Amino acid sequence: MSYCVNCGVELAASEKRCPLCGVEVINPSSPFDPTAARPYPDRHEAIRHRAIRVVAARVLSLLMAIPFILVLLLDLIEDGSMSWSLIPAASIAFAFLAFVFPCLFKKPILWMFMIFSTLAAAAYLFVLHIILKGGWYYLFALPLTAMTGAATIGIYLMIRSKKASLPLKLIIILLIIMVFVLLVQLVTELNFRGEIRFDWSLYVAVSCGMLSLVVLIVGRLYRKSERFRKKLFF
Amino acid sequence: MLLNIIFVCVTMLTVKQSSENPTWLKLDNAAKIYPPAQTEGWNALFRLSVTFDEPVDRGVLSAALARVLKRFPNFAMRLRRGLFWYYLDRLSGQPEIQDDVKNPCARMNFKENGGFAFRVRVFGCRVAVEIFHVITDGAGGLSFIKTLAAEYVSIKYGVTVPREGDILDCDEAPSKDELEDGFLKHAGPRAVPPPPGLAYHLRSTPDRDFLRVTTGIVDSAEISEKAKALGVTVTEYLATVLLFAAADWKRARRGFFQSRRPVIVSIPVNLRKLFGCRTLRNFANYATVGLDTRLGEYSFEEAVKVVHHQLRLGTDKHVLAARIASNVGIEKNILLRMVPRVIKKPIMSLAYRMEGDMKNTTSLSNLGQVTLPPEMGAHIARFDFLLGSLVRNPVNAAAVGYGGKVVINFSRVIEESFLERAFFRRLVKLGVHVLIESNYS
Repeated sequence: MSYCVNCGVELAASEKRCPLCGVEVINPSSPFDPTAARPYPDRHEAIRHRAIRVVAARVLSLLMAIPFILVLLLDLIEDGSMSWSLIPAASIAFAFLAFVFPCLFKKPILWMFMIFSTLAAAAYLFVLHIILKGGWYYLFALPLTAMTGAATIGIYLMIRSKKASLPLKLIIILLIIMVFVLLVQLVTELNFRGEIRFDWSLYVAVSCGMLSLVVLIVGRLYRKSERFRKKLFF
Repeated sequence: MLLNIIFVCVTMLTVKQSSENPTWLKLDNAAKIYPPAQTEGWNALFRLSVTFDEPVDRGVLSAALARVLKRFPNFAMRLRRGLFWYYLDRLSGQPEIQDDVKNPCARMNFKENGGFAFRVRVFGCRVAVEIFHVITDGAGGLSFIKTLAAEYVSIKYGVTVPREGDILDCDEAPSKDELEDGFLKHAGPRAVPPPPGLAYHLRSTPDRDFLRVTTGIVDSAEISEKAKALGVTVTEYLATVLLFAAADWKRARRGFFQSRRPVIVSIPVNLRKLFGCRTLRNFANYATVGLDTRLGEYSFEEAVKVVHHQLRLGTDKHVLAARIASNVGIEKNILLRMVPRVIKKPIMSLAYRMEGDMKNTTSLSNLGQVTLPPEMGAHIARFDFLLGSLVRNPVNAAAVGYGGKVVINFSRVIEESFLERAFFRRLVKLGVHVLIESNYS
């Protein structure tokens, strides 16, 4: 007969540790007997996840393959080369990679798929850039795509973070938004006006900066709440 | 071929279905929500088990099950899809007796179980029945397992077990009132909407693939005495301890903001005695008891009184009848009835997730004291009652008393054991001796 030193409950002979607090039971007069009858067998029933999402994604993949192949074939048959078909084919490929592909996995890791979607978007824009012979890819589309992807992943990781406190999370998210809008205007202005200029982005950036400062101060005061209450009581 | 079709149609039109032994059943009002709400990894199960004084003889158990299934026609049914609603269709044969597993109440695969919506599992001296809620509720399940145990004892030991109360005589034919939908019959004249407001939900790390069971065994007389000293029932006493445990969790897990939602424990109420109903299908509703921790610290004695009065109000027959009328009203709505099942399914599933167990923090289902005739009781050591996981509430408690002991089973689909720990530690502090066992330590 052993009792948990933390919880004060008697433990059945089958329990090596207290199921409530996890503390190991060490009783010199009655050591744990591994052969003691356990209340449940060892066989673990696997829960079969039929994953309807995965099945739907597979079906959708096949359905998307039909127009993809069809447009390429039609274009090829028409004049022996591929021209107009590349745009719809690239669009279908992008839609597949960004939205259907992540659903093919039973346990999707969201941040990995965010990276993947960013790469897919960059590749899609590159194809459009080649087909349309535009000079906007390397200096405009690619940096904007990369920045959007990085900001989204950064915000997602901050939201999911278990270590960071709520004020810290808010501050980092606000700073990410601040840097993001400044960079967006920088890239846009450099591409379209050829000069470094900040106007609309400054409003957003300053607001975010001020807000993060408020969060920082309130967070600190909250931690030292006794002092906060003493100084500011009314 | 054509003649065949005509014959089937004529038969369908002319043969009157026997209400005592029907070939199919509409789902009762409470059961209607469970099939659309089930997912690929979850369905609403609960488990009752009986432990004999010697290892179970599977041959005898199989013979006993065959007899019991004739007496409980709602168990000998498979869940099928109709155009507008799910329904139960008669099934011949019986489910295979299975070996018990470490993780009870895992999602039931009906195909692997021969189509039956319940399964029988054996481990050593214990027989466990895991039941999908479409068939029956805890009280109906208890009647089933008691009758099964009575048949088992009768066949194995050759004793005559008197059939009284909810232990049914398998030589008798099932009666009409045992299969009726009590909700339709006893719905009140006016409907009241369910109480508004959401409850606090335990913040935790989910692990839905393994149902962790923590069992606490306490002395029945000891806990009854403690409850009586405060002028309350054992259920009210345990519910208060559970409320305190959940409130402790809320306090411990408090982050930057404190949730405004109150801690609420839902307690299933068996409506059979209240309404004089004998149905073996679902016929239960819920009463809720809660503490608003924002109002300040309650002492245990204060909280017990609050819970006592809340439960008395919650189990008022007229209030329950009005709440039943509200649920029945939804079922009878002509617009809802006309909508095909495939469209109804996602809507009902969403409604269950938004409404179902959102209004309570956890639940405590107490089946009360099990009494058995001495001829049968001599061979039975213990009863257990266990709830499977719910959609939103990760920890639930179920209790049943037998042989001078009350067995309290906590089942959880999260890693943290905070609620059970706080519950049993408080019981110990209140001077109750607790014996603990589990399926995971």
